[in-house]
Amino acid sequence: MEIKYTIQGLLIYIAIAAYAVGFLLAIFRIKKVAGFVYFLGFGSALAAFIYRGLHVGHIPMQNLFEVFVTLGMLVYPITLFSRKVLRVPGGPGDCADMLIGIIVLFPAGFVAKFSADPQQLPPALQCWLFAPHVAVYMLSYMIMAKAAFLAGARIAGAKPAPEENLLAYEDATYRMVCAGFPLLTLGLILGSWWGKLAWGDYWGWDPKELWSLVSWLVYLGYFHFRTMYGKKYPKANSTLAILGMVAIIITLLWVNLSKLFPGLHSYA
Amino acid sequence: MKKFRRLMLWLGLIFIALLTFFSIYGAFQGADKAQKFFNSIPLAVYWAVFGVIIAASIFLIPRLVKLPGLLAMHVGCVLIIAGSMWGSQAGHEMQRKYFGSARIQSSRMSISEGYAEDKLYLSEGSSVNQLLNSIKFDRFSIKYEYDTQNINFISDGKTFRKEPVVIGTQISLGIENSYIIPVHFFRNLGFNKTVDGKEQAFDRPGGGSNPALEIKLTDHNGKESTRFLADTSFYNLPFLIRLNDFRIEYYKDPKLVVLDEKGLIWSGPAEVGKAIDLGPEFGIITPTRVFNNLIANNGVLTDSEGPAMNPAIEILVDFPGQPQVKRYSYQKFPDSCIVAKKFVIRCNSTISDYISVLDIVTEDGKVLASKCIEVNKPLHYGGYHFYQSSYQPLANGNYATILSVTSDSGLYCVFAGFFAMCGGIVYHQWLRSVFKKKKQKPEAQAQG
Repeated sequence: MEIKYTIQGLLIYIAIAAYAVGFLLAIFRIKKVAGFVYFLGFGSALAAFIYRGLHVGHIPMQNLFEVFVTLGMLVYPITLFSRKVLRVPGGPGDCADMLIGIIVLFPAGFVAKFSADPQQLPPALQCWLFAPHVAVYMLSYMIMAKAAFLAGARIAGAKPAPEENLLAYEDATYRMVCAGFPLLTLGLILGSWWGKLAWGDYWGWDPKELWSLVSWLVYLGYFHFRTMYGKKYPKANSTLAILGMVAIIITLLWVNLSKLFPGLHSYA
Repeated sequence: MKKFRRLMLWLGLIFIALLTFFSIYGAFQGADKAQKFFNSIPLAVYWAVFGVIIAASIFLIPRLVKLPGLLAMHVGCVLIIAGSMWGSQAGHEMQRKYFGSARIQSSRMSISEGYAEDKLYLSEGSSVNQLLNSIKFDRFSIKYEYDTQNINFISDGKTFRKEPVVIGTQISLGIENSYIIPVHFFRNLGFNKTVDGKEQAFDRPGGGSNPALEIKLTDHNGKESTRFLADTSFYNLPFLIRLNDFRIEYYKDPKLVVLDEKGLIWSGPAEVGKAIDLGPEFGIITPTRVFNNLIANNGVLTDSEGPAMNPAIEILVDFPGQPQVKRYSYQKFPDSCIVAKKFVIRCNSTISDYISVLDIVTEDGKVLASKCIEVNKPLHYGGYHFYQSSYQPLANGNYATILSVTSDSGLYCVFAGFFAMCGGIVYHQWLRSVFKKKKQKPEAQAQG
């Protein structure tokens, strides 16, 4: 845990604060103000992204700190894209995306391990595939998180406001999973390619790899099940989408936080 | 037909679910055990059946052919399963048995600077010296001959005695009361590291690529020891690899770390001219020069351009009660700067890369290829990938590089599968709907 007393840090904290205020306002159904505060948060996150880019002189996606800043900036465009293009609602109260924004910016702002200092990477991590591998995964995780939230709304029996002409939650979940799955696949394959370059094997059976395979397989199962039964069992579909997210959370956190499994992925 | 399609989909779903459970089980086991589990015979059957199910569904479900994205991703999956089975340990054994291929799936090699090697060590995690193919005594050595199942006694390069191997039957060595007893025969000797770091012999599954004999040796004092006699303990590459140079590169601007017996006293950047007060017990140290690549020429020290290969720091040391002295701390020699036997000043840079400069050469010294390999930048030659894996400092100041070597059998099939699968998924889930919308729009306009 650390506080960053820099302009970079300040911009990140403003963005986190704005997302948090927006989230609370959305919960209390003060929708318009919430949307405006969310937009302000995006402005600050965008400023943090541009500031970082100018500061280091490259697209800020070369280490985990930069990846989290980038994701924090991307939350708002994802909201817009899923609403305007995919016709996917924001879930009850439209607050899910702001929560996701807080979650992805938190490590950039407070976790000392994801330092803003230029990092001295160990030899195995110095590969151009590092940033795309991580970035693609993070983006897909954000999209899948939104899908899981929508799936939860479907299980709870909620329905989006009819006047907005958006998809019902089951269809919305499917569309989000469709948007995220290619990224999840790409992350798996980029990682595999990198593994071949760095360790000589495209697949090492290490716990983190296996958990990422599990999350991929759960979504694969989701697609096959939905192909078989369509919307006949909406709750089963939604449960699978949530299970996918559970597997992702395990992939992302459990393997790192607990020292339960020995493995190669000790950096991330 | 519809029922049949549903059956195929159910089978697919069951196999996906099974793989999910296997993977979770594997994740709890750790990488080594998981690898063994996924390469075991029951799992080999699973993989084969899964591959067949996917391939069959391509022929039996018309939708999978009609939609190019679905076709590509399913073909991709079949390619990945087939390629990785072909490239597995068992796949290599099969190729050796039925197709006469002599490739080794994964191995290691060790080359000293200035030397050329063609030996691949087959055992993972075993130290080089454990796989001896002979045991030397004062006047002779013994070797194990797999073809004839004999122990051969050799002196001056000539076999002067042969003894048939019978497990459990003592063979006298002819020196006082010493003898050997063959204990166990390995078709394919390998070594495993146990939890406490010891090495344990085991028979690697598959054909006999490394036949060996475990023997109990009792010397004239009655002291027993376990030894291994391998017939072909190495696999020889059809070419040699010469290590011309091995270097370690560091990140620039080394840090200063000051330690005493109890632990860390101070650490931080080495800023030239900035005095560091270590307290009344240790005095004051002041870095005066920082070298990334120190070169000494007739006593003149310069910091050479280029990558940081020899970091060092020049420091003025004011130890209480002693005159000020100029000292040097070298990255390569961690104990080069010990002050008054009380504390050590270390020059601390992070390693950024290991580099081996290699030539592929024939027996008569003709260079076939050259490559500088680094972490993430392997050499590909003769169906193998050679990776920078580790290194060992040698007594003469040189280094030996340790390369891990993997065969590329099945690799291109797997990568083609990755490409097809990923392309198929991107097309099916993203691009298809974009194209659909574009098609629909002009139609809608025409109707409007």
